Amino acid sequence: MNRTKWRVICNIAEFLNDFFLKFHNYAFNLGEIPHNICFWQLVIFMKNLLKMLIILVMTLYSVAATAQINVTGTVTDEKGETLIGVTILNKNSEEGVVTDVFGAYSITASMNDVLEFNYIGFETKELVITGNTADITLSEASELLSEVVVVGYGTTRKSDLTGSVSSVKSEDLAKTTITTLEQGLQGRLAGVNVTQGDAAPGAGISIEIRGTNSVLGGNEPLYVIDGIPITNPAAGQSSLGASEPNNQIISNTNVLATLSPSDIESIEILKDASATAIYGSRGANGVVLITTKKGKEGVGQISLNISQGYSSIINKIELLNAEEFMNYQNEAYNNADLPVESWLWAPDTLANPARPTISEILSLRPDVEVDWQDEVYQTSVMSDYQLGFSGGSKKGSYSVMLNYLDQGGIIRGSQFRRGGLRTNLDYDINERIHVTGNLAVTRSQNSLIRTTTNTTQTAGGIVRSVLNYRPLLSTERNEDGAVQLVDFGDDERLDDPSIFQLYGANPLRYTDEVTEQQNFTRIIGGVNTGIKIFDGLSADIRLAANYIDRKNNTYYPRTVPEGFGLNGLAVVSSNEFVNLINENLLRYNTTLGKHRVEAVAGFTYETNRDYWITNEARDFADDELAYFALQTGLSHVPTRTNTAKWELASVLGRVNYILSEKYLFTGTFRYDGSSKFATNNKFAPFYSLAFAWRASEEEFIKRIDAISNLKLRLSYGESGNQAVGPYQSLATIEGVTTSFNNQLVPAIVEGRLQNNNLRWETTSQLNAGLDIELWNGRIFSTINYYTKSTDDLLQLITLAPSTGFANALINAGTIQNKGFELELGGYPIRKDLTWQVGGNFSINRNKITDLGEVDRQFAGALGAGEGLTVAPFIQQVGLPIGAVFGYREDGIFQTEEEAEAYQDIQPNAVVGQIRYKDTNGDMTIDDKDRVVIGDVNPDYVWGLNNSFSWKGFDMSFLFQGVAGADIINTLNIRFHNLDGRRNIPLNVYENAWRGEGTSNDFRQVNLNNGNSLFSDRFVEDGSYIRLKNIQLGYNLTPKNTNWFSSARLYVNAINVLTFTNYSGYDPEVSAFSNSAMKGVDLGNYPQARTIIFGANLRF
Amino acid sequence: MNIKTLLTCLLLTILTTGCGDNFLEEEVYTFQAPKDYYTNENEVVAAVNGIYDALMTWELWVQPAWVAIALENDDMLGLDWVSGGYTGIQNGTWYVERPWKGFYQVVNRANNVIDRVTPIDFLDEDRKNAALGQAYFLRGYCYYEIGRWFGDAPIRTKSYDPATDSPDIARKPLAEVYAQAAADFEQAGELLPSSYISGTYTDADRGRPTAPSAYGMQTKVYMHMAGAELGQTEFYAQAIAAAQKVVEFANAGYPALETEYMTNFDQATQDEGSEILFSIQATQAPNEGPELPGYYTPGNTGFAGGGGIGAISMREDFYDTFEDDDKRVSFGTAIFDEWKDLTGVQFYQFRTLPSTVVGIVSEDVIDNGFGRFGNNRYELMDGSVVRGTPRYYIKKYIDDQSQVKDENGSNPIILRYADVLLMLAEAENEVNGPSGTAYDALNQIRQRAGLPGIEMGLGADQFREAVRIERRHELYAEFQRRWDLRRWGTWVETMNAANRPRLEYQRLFPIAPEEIAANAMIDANNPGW
Repeated sequence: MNRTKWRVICNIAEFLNDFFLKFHNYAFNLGEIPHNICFWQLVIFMKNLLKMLIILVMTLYSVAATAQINVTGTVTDEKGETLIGVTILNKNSEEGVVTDVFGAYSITASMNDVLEFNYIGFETKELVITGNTADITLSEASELLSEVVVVGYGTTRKSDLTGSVSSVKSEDLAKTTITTLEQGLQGRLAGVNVTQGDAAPGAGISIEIRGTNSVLGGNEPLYVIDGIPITNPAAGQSSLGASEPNNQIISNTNVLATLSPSDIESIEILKDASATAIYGSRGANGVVLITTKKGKEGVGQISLNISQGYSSIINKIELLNAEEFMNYQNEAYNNADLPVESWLWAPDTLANPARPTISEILSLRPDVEVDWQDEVYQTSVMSDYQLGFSGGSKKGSYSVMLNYLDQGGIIRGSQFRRGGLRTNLDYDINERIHVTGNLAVTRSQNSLIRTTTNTTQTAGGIVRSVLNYRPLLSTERNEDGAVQLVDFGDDERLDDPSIFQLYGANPLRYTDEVTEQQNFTRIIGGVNTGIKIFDGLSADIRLAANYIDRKNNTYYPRTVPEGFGLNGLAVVSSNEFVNLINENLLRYNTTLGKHRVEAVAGFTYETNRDYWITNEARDFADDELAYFALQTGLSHVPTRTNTAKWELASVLGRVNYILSEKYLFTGTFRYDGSSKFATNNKFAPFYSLAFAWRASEEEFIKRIDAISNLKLRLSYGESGNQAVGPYQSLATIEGVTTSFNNQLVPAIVEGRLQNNNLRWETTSQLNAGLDIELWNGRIFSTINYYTKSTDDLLQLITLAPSTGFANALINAGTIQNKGFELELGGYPIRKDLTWQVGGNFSINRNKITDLGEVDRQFAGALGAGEGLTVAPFIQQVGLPIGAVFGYREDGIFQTEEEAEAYQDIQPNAVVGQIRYKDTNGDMTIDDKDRVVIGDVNPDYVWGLNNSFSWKGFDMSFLFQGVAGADIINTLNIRFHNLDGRRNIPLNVYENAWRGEGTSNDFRQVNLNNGNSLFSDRFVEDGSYIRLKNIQLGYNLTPKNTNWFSSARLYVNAINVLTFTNYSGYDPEVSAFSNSAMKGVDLGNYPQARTIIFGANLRF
Repeated sequence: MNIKTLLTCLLLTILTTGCGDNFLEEEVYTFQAPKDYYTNENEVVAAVNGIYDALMTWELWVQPAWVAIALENDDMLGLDWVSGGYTGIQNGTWYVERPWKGFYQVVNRANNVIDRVTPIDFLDEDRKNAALGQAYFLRGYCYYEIGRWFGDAPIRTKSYDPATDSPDIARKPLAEVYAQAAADFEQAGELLPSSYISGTYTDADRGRPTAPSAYGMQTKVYMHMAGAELGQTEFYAQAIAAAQKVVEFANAGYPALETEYMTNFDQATQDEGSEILFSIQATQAPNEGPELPGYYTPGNTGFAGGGGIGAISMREDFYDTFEDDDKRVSFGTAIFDEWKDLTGVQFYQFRTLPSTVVGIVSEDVIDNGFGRFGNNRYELMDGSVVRGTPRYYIKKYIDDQSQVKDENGSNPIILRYADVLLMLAEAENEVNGPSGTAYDALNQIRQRAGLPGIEMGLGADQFREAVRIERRHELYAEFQRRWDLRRWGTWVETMNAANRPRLEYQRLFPIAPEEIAANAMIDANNPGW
């Protein structure tokens, strides 16, 4: 590659960046976009890296090209369409090329060399060179059957599968621009519910496969990357982590956000017991197998993907402006019968020398008004760069991938950056031994913004603060009597401490002055030695390591309540996690007449060690150095450290027996020993049995032309969930300090109760499935029905505080999940214009069938204070996990008489206030009147994907929907309180009760309004239909194939349209990772609408 | 490498990675196991200390235990955001819901120490008694608080063991809760050293309760039992007996009234004094001190860790009830007379404005119906401008050495000897009328305040009134008034008269919602909450 080429690329890149910025500005009519990326620097950096790597690759894999004849030709399919990207390998020289967009290729070869033509979905063909041209026609394979899928501890042909496995290929992922792999799965697979609960850049996404199995053990599936099970130290109920009183570290960076989607070749999701039982005590929530890109035999390839995106908030909530807000506050004081002198704003009728009146303020200082939504939400820029090198020969292949992502957040101050390098190498050392090595290093840096987590402080998260903070600045009358603004540049509390105490710090202090930084370094690497022992028998010995270094740095300056009384608070914590894995597998494959056997057996061992350290310092001279100089803080909280270790040792095996290519049997077994479980329950057996019948192989069906594949599947088995933290079964003595006579002294406390019987959860699952393909793949469908039962639920039961303990971990109860999944796809048009449709639909019904000794219990409280000290999620036999419990409302008391008449039942009945239903008819409103008022589980979820391609153009769009899932909108607790203390939406204000018949929805505005009871008011329908993604692409036809082989330009829009009745920012919301508390909106980071421009180049 | 070597390697890998002696046993790093604990004296002491640890937390005395009651009286004036604010509505607020958890956490820790220390034999008698005495004392203290905060309540006298105990437990009548507290204090009184120079106690143990502390607390419990809550007036006699025990200790030298009233409130030396019988220990370390000083000292001043907020001050009408020359409200020592805020602005209390004031610049004090707030600007003769405020900021909670809000060394005082004397006077009057003992006890307090003694010859009703006024004056802002009014049965009417309306249901605080959710024997909160 020469200098000129690079210059061209760079120029194009710069031009595009410039163009897109301008386009976006124009299209969205926006102001200045933060130009925070030095684009050129990055290009130069990439360029240098590229050069270095090219030299490296060239040295390693230099092929001495001998000048022979030049063979050219065209590859077409049976219909005569040219095929792009067919790999052509000269089997003699081991040189390879690929066809261009005209299906043409050119390769050097000697006469009588053999060329091998490879193309996905087509039969491989060989051709002997007899002249200078060699055209060839490839015929389609029955693609869905010959496809190879990855399964636990191996691969298998799709036709041999007995279990329920869904796959996503890299081509599908490429149809949307995503920054983490879960986004790519959303809406694409049946039975896989992907929810981005908090849309902060780099934040976690929850994946739930076939419903909620566990209230506590975690419902995230097990992730396996290139065969290595990836332990996520933060998964499940964990005793680890920095516990800082009053200052919990906020939402963690998603562990999977460290994996660049561009590295992924395919994702397989194992759903039923036949597929997951081989992962034993970690398989119950399903397993996600991720395979990264390997080099392909053939010519070396360089790929460069560049994209740039712009995000902004989808919608704003209409709140009160300054004037409405002042009148609203006065109304609250007036209705509370407080003297006019005490009203917060001097009404125009009041002559008060101390304070300017409302109209004076508005006319003299129109700049008093602040729209915090405008101040805090911004248009953010995302840049993503991916560079890959791959290639290979008969003996091995290589793949080197680089990526860099810089994703700004739509809330000021949030940003996620990620850079990574991945190498996948494999090589035949000799005829018997094949070595595979892979190494991935990722570093991410996440600037976090407090959104939902901490609700105890007055501010309680930036989104809540933006919506609740009063929409005006402070004013006062200066000594000349003129109205002046209190300067927010100075410390506001000095002038008016009561504003600070009542309203907290203004939102910009959190976005601009609080700093929370999370740095994440992850290394995953492994070596696999494959040994052929004799024909059919081979061994794999695998050593792998997974290393995580995570650093959280937080600083609260004295301008926010958290740092106010402390004179600045810095918390620095760091976590090191090491996971070592050894897997030893034996494989045996043999065919004897009609009998075919594939077997694998092995022993695996892994050890994990987690270490935390937390330092906290306070009392800083000023807020300049933040967490960079803890030693300058005068007061130090004792450093806390925590070390934990756990082990897992397993024996596993699987046998596939195939009779006559029609009857398929699979038996799986795993025996797991885990250190996490109590002395009485160290070891656990898991198994599954499955049968499948390939009916289409029967003669009577073969005769039906339309049916190209028909398979019936049946499986049953057990898998487990051990996602509790280590040591949870042991009682603890923990060291603390206390003081006497102004001296600290050591003390101990008993921290936890002993449980010698703590064990894993066991999920048994029955799955019946049908795979059908008609007219050679024109239409294909997979239908599954399953029923699951999870026993020995791990539960952190709330203990009555009168025991002296908050909770205890036990096994008790059973949850049932039943469901139906449909995947349906096909090619309605397959000519010049191709149209591919893929749809999925899933229903899951969840029910608690047993709870052990307790009749009912509640998941945790939503928060502390502000009306959030309520635990609305009831767990009771017969109800689903996620049922919401509360009071029913019955309108507003319209008249004094009505209220008085009801006072025997509801003692605080007052006109203009909320009337509650006495649901049990005992003539008093109390806890017993609470009933089920909602369910956060969806009735069904679906996705519909369409792709079109015509000549060089392609277009795809994805619709996605959730129906019948309720959302607990906690923002309304403050909005509907109407106590005049915080800002509220305009429609609530306008519809407040102001006399008989004025409103039956909202209470009277009154300073005396306490938090109302938790009622159906706060449960909203969160159903939605979303046009999630549209992508339009154009494949460039290179005039001169000399300098790049293909290019694709595209534009991609995400979250284009959403149809919903939900009143918050977005119905895709869930504040807690705990799946027993889904669907709560605590003022989460809102979803953004994003438009992305990108280019994919191949050289 | 041939196949044999490979297989050997494979086998070796399998063998070496597993099958050790403690294969899959958990290696513990960060904590110890209870079964290995309580093996020597240091461990027993550490376990006892662990009970105290639960007192200074965000469940109890760092904030909620005093914030919830700070304005529940007719003595103090607060900003609208403090506690229930002007309207007094505290439903659903975090600080009223936490103390239930905090008190029971202390109870369980105390039970744990009692259960585990009682059987051990390696400690000498005195040390074991001191350990157990403290555990009984702290348990008694919590049942006394639980009773007056929440009314009927579960009683546990054994540490909770999930293997044998049900987590469900019913509420016992308030009379039994108080009786448990009284019994615990009785035990503690017998076991604890009588002072910091007796038994195993040394100066380093200051802050731990003594035998007089136990009998003093017992007196308080009996006063509650005899008061309006239960109406068991026969307990006044018991209260006298318990208080007399304390007086006997006092006659032997400890406890004693401090010569200067304010000595009790100086955070640096209050632990060394002889009057405080029990206080929640605070020291200048993170999370080891209450946020009290910030709330009670003037705004934006350095008299408190984290800066003063100026949230709470004394009501003017209450100040006016004090006799002239009462040292307990003397300007400069007990009430802030003048001060500079952190930006150097000079402030005066209205009554201490200098005589050099020549005129008023602006009048910014507002009476909003609950009290007077804000400050006026005055011009002095030299042309400078100072500020004057009507607010009486008190000096009971000050820590100008601390920089951080939860690191104040100012101890919340639970019991002073003065309180015991006043209870003695009150109980004597109820049982025997205004006896010599009663006058003597009352007049000791008045004398220390720099006031003349009450002349003999009052009727029982008049004496009762005198004692009540004296209690109010002696113990203001020490979180006693609310409970005294409850004992006297005048809480609601007194609060209403003070333009701080309260409803009957607010007499009791709500129990934690978790208790209702998790305890099958309790299915509703206190009415109204």
